[in-house]
Amino acid sequence: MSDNADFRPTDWGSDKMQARLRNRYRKERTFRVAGFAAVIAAGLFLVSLLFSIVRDGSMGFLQTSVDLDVTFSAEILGDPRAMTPEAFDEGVRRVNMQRLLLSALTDYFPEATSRRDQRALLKLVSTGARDQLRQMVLDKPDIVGTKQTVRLLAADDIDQLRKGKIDADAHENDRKVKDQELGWYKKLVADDRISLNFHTEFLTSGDSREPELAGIWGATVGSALTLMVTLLIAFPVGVLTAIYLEEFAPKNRITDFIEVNINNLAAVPSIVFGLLGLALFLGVMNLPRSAPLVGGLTLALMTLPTIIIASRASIKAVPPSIRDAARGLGASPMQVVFHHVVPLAMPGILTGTIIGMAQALGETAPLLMIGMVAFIVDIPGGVTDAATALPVQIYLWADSPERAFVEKTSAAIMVLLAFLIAMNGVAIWLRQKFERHW
Amino acid sequence: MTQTNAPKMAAKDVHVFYGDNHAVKGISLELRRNEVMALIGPSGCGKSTFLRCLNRMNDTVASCRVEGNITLDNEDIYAPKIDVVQLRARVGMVFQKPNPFPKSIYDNVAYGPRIHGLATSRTDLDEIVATALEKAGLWNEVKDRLESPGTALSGGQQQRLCIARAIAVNPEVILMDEPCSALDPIATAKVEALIDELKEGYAIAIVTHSMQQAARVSQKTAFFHMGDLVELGDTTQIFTAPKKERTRDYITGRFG
Amino acid sequence: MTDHILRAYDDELKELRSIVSRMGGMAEDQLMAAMEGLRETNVAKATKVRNADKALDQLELQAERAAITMFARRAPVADDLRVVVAALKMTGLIERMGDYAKNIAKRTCAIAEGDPVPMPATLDRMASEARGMIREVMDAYVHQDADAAMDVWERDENLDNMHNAAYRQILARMMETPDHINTLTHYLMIAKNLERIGDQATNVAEQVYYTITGTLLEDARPKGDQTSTSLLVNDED
Repeated sequence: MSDNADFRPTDWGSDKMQARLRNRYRKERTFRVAGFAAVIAAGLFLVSLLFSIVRDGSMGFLQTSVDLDVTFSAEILGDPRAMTPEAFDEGVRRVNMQRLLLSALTDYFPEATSRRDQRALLKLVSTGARDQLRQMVLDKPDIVGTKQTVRLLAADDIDQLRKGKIDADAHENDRKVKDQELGWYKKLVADDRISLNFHTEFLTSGDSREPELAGIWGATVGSALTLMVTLLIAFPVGVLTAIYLEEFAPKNRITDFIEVNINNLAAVPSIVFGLLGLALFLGVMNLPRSAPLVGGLTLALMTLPTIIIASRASIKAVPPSIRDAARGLGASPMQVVFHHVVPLAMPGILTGTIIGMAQALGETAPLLMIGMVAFIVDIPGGVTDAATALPVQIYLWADSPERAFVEKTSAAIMVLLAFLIAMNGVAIWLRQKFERHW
Repeated sequence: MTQTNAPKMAAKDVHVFYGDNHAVKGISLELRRNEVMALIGPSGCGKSTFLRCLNRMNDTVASCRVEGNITLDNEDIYAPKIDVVQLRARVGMVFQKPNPFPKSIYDNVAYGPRIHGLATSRTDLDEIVATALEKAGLWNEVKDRLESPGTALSGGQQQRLCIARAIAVNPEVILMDEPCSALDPIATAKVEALIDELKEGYAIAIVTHSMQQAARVSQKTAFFHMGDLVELGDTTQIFTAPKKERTRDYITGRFG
Repeated sequence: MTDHILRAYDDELKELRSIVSRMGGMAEDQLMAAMEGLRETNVAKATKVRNADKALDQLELQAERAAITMFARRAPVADDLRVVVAALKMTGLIERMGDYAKNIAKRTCAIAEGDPVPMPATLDRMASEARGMIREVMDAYVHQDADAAMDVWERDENLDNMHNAAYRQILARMMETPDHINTLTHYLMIAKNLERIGDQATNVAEQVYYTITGTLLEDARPKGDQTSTSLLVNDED
């Protein structure tokens, strides 16, 4: 054929081709370097963020204590052997424990005699120390009449001093702890009566105005309850909506309209959902203010679009051949969806759900609107009790003036991150379980 | 062949529309037991569309409209009293790409009988599964690993598994939409051998793009072109002496 | 007929058909040359015919190879299938025609060694009839004319009748001149060869008809040959 003349091999060795080749190699190299740099940069940001949080927060889990020799005098507390246990308990509850503290402190620092000095002395220990002593006596009435070395919570200023957050070398006017207190502190240190211990109460108690008494458990429980409500509402509603829209709804203008609106809702600022929650759940339905129930409902509204969009995407990703196969065997539309499509889409649905839940866990703004920003000391016992949530707690502490709340804030962020990791862990475990089960 | 071989399925003047697109234009043909019907024709000629009308798989396509009359044992399958789900159990389908469920081999075959309540006990179900796999010529290859995933089988085995799955619900008609297009020649030969054996029990219609396959497995061949049934005849006649020029041009490779 | 999408396929089919036509032409030439040698009792011409047969054998082999290749590579169906199958059979039949012509040439050499005996005139008429059949059937093949092929198929009766006549004539001469019986036997066999060539031409016509129409002709062809059932005694009656 004469066409053969047209088949002339390309001259790959020509200068032009070589230049092209070099150009291509250079582009590929540049792209790889840029990508690597981006990964490194992101990694550095993450590491520095984590580093600063852990550096500040790790101290939040530790608490300074003062060892004092406390005489549990029967004069002040009453004699448990001379009265009924009930009467004794009643008496102990009424007693001003400050007297025990003061006598222990003045025993140790006999030079402080004036009322002013004594008041200053009492400020060495936390206000929680009185409850601590009271609890000791109630737990063990035998203690009355003895002298015990008790490890008491130090006041936040002493705590900060111990942790080096207050500079002892600064001029007296520039520091919160005055020279007198500093002297006492130094004496206690010299006697090895100051110690730094793991602060269990931080993880087990509720909020407090005093940093050394404030704990994260109330907010954690509040968050858990809120998220439970969110999950119970958003997951079934979201998944069923996605299934209906994807598999059953007729394709017409109404469904198109709904689809557009769901996509828009996902982009609505979260505070708007807070306003909606305030108007609807508190205003119209009169549900209790500050309750995890309302918080959960509000966050469910916010999370729904995320779950619906993710679920629809993963339902759409199930190969049509599987639907055909089931339909061809005579499976009804419901059987097709619930026997085949949903199980196959489940990993994707769970991923979407966990993203939505993580978003909900970190959300503050809508909770502020429905009153979950209140100062709540008690650990919530149910979804209708007043509660706060982890991010709100972080926000509240970050706003507090006491120096000691800075480390508490970081510590609370660490707890929030741990909560998040635990939640993701459960989701990953669930997903793998579904995937193994096909 | 029996003397009185009444048609199992009959289509009379079937038209299919996708919106404004007239995809199938007045097709009439009959499916019988002991007789594999091959539907051939260029892509987009309406053969697959027609096939999917026979078990109403097109129902899920909203814009699709079917006119004309299709009967199964002289009963109109588009009549309002017909339950589509039952119809699809009676008229099984095997698809182009092997599409086993991502479940075990056993569950794949057992799925149909389970949803239709064809087995009363576990032993019953075991028996149905074993029989279907045997009929599909797969039993000896998989009997020791019924619990392993169906998706782990080779392509040809997967397709035979799909055939076993279709057989398990005890259909009367089996529709196959290019069942071998994704298979290698050995697997294709096995599926074709299977089709040849199955024709004794079922009326079979097979859509194929392979002339040679149509010639090998079918007794009747229908040539579709642009929605028309151009020629319908004995396979031997179609492949040695087609009556219509369009048929000849297509099967000899003359379409421009 | 429109072309195949694959041009090489068309070229191969064309080549196969041309081999068949060429063989037909060669068989016709061989027949004419053999008859010429016989008429003139020319050993040189006869030898030339005997040697030329090899070319026909070569072409048949070539056609066979082409057909097998096409079966393997093109999997021909419908019209294409008929062309290839028929070509395969036709080349065989034409090759046989060539063999008969060669046999006539061989017998010419034998006749040349004996006393000169005049050739029966019927043989000439038979040869031109056979040649006409070959020519017409090959024309029908080239022009895809089913009717013309059918005509050839029906025409075989003429040649059979001529053969019957030649048979009787030669037998009569044998009885008249028993001395020439050797040469006359050769003439008798040559008449038979010519009749066989006609038979092959009819078979070729069947194949041509099949190629064009796809219909296989039933074996109900008009038969005029009675030589296998006739006895001289009866003929004399």
